[in-house]
Amino acid sequence: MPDATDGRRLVAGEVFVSFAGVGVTYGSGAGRVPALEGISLDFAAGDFVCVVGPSGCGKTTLMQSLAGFLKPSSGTVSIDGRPVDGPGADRGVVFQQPALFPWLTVGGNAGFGPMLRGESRAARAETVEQHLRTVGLWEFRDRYPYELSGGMQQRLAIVRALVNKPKILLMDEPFGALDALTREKMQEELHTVWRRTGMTVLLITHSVEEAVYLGTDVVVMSARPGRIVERIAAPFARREGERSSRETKSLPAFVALRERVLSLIWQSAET
Amino acid sequence: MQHRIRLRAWTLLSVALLIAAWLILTWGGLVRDLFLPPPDELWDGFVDLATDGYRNRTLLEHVEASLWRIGAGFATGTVVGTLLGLAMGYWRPVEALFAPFVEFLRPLPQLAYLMLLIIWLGIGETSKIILLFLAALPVSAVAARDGVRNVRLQSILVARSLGASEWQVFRHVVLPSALPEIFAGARIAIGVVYGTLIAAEIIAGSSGIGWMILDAGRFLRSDYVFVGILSIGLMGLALNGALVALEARIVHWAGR
Repeated sequence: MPDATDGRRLVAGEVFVSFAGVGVTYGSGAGRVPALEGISLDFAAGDFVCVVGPSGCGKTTLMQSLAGFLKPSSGTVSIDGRPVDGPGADRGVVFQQPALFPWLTVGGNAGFGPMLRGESRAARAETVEQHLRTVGLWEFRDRYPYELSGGMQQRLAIVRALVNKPKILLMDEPFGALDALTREKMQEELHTVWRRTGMTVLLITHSVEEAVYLGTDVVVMSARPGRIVERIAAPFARREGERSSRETKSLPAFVALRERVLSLIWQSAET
Repeated sequence: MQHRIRLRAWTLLSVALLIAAWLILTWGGLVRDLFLPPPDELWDGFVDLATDGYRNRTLLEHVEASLWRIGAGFATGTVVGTLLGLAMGYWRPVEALFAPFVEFLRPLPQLAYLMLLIIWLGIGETSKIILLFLAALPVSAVAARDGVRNVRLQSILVARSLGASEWQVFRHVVLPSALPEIFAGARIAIGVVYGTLIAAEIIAGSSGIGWMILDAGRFLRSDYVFVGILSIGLMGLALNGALVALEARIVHWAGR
């Protein structure tokens, strides 16, 4: 298996999510397209892993195999020691399009997960209120998704995942459809949530800056079939102090790391 | 807002023009009463029908007879059709089992099999209601099936990732997603049922507004024919209006 050791952690005890020799092939016969090949990647609880790479490199496929939306053709994906077998409430998912339920109010969308588990309206009200308040959506609780702006809709999609208290948050280009300003604000909010909860996040993005800024680990993938080129530890997510996002993003160390990741992507796209 | 008021004015104007033309043509003596009854004669005809009735039944009773058939045929046809369509959209084997019948029945002119129903069931109420049931069923079934098919995959994936079981996905995602198309299907169905009913009453009947129009026409009672047509038209507007209002209330999010 090529590259099978890339991205593996040395300390086995703290492994939370593990891709072991994962390959995914779409189609069959002459039309077979290998999307992922020999992906081995471990990460620990509390890590914020950002995956970047040229388009078509299988970033989304990687996320989907952990979400349980597709079965790898080879290898295994496991979380918390158990192999992934289909989607489950332990893995919250956020797509680029919010995919809200338009027939439910903002509050109804936020409380969807607890509702499925049969929690009474009163029982889930408190969690829902607390989460909606932190993102400024509480006053919109009785409105419908179509009455919200794009940024608010995506906040709601994230809240809907968080209310369900997943072990890991899987996000596929969550801010890709937003304008630049909203995007930065939401990066900030996501960062705050992650710092406060210490939750594990897998973020797929095509913004290298976003990956270096938010991630504890940046995983660079190559063009099809997707392989892991390099896994780089990024120090900025766990930074201390009051530095603003724009200050951080203009630090020489930040710029250097961003350029390094960019050149890795360029190289992998050319070969 | 002002724009809408102006459009409303145009609508009123067109109706007013039609009525004015009617008055000029009839009271001006340009058209014989037989072809187009003047307003006073039409009114007399209406009062006649409403009080004395036509062939032992008042206008209201004819309307009731028609409405009852529409209601029974439409309700049973859309409920069964929608349930069948939901199942067809969600489970491929059900689709495979029923698709040939639904697809064959849907484009078939209802009057083609009316004769068969009359042979089997006679000219009473049963054959008419079954006819309307069969008219509504395939339209609703296809609408519900397509509604299920058009559910966004991401909505289902999100629900699964929030812990939804297969039944919960159907109940909380697929069904509400399909509602707008189910309603659109119901509106098409009521149109089909409505048209079929009038035709059915003309061919076989002794009550109902369609039958009344045909029978009065045989005796050249154009005033009764016009009252009948107006009644049918207004009933249709009311039925459609009720469905649209219900739709706006229940699937208010559709298309937004």
